[in-house]
Amino acid sequence: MVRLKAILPICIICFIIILSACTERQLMLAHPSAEESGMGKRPPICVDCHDARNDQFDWAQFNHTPLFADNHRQLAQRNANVCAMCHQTSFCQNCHAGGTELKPSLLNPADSFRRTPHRGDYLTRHRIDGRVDPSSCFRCHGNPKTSTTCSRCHR
Amino acid sequence: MLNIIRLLPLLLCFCTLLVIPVMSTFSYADSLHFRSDTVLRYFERDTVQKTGQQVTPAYQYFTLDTSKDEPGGLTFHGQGWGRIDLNDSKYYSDQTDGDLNYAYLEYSAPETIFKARFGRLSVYDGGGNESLDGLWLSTALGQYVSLSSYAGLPVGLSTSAGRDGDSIFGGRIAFHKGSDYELGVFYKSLDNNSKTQEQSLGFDLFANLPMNSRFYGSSTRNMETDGWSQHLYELRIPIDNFTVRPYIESINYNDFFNTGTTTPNPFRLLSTSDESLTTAGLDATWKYSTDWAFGGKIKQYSYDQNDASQYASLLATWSNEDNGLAQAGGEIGYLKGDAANNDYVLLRLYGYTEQLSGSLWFDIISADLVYAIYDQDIFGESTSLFSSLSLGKNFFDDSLKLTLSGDYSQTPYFDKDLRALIKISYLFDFNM
Repeated sequence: MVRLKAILPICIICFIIILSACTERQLMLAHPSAEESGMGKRPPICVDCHDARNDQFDWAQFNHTPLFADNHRQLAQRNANVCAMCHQTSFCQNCHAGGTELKPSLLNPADSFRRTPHRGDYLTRHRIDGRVDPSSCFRCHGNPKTSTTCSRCHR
Repeated sequence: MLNIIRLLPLLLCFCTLLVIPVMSTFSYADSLHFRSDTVLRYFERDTVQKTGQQVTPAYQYFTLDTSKDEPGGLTFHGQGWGRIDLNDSKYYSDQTDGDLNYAYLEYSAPETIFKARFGRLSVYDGGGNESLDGLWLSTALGQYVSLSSYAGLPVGLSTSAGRDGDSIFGGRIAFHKGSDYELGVFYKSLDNNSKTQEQSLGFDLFANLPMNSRFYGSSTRNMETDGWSQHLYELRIPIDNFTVRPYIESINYNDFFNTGTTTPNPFRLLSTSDESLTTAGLDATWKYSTDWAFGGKIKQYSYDQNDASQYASLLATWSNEDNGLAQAGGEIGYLKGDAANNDYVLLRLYGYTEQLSGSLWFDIISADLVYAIYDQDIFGESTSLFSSLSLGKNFFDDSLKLTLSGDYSQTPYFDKDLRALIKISYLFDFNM
């Protein structure tokens, strides 16, 4: 059983490498820049330029509505390659790095238009938010490294 | 000394295997994108040594990306940060002074969908948010099957003192038909010295429904506790310029917070609780015009053992791009908890503009106000105020950005708290 667990990832990796020759890429690796596409700097509404969907791709689900930052979890987990068309890893890591000491609203203080977590006096609010829905904390602070921000008080 | 001599050949091999591809990537790249962010902060805190200790940390963030002009190929992406306490205040004595957030080589096949990453990377496949030192692969078989897999050492456990022998692997296989539907199955296993610490199996669903509606869902089972840790199911229904999102989410504390011996405080106590939480809610957004958008949320938190809580909020946003970006907005929310000490009203107002560039010396002005009213006093205070003002100036065709920021708080924790921040960002793009 132990030997199977050790070689299973290697088998999967070899299988993936073999499969990799089989499928043409449908999606571009990068979206045209804001200047090239005329998108501007506002959060993009994809259907302003694209159809809601066709047989191959669904654009409408990526519309960056005012609550998109709150609700992008399931989209991002299934479609990280689509996010990567516009966002570098550093953009996602602004909020999801976990091991970065400065919270996003401190690291980028001028970006008040972004719905970043822990804005303002979250030290007081987290007492209540953590009681009401502790899973909202655990998603980002749920391992020994990312919980070091918690363990200063929660020993 | 003897151990170092014995390990030296292995260390040399490792460095060669890592350094040569990284250096080759730089010579192979068409462009280099380097970003440096230097942050200087000032604030006062009470420490063990002193009341009103001045704390002046300086942070340095480096971000490096290479890119190719043509799609595909080998690229490098990395980010790290470090901090020094200029005043030696001892405020950070029990915290790490820096970290490598990510650093990986990425290969994207030019013609096929294959992608690989090697190094320190983040993985979001299958409901997780894992950081590991290892390998991630993703590809597809025809138009109907996608596959991704990862394996390595979990970064999240690297700070656990006296702990070694951890490994993590997982993956996701998905069956899909174009944009009509997708069914994914994902798995994750975290082992310590070949003993399973954490193991989860789950599935996720997506389906396009009539009237351009979309259904999303995922469920995850904790294989160690043999229980369903979480379910999340939602619809997204567009109606003209409205989008409505009803959803339901369910968590079993026993299964969700239980990650074996790695469950950190303050969640370890919750992992032994028999409580469960079901959140049912509705989000709605309305794109009123090109410049105006509105949104609203309502949520009901239902518990197995505690009384229910409710949350509702409304928000309005305005944006304009005539002569630069300007955005403003406001949000008001009310949480009615199961007890008075869980009730609060939250108000937020913000504004951002680049449109005063040329009129004033600063190119960017940004302000933020967050005000909370608590039903029950916390440390004798019933309100909390946070206000922030930031000014930004760009130099050398936006390659150099200077941000000055100050914030003032009057909260249950801090009385008349003033904090200052200077951020200098340097962006350097180099064509090889």
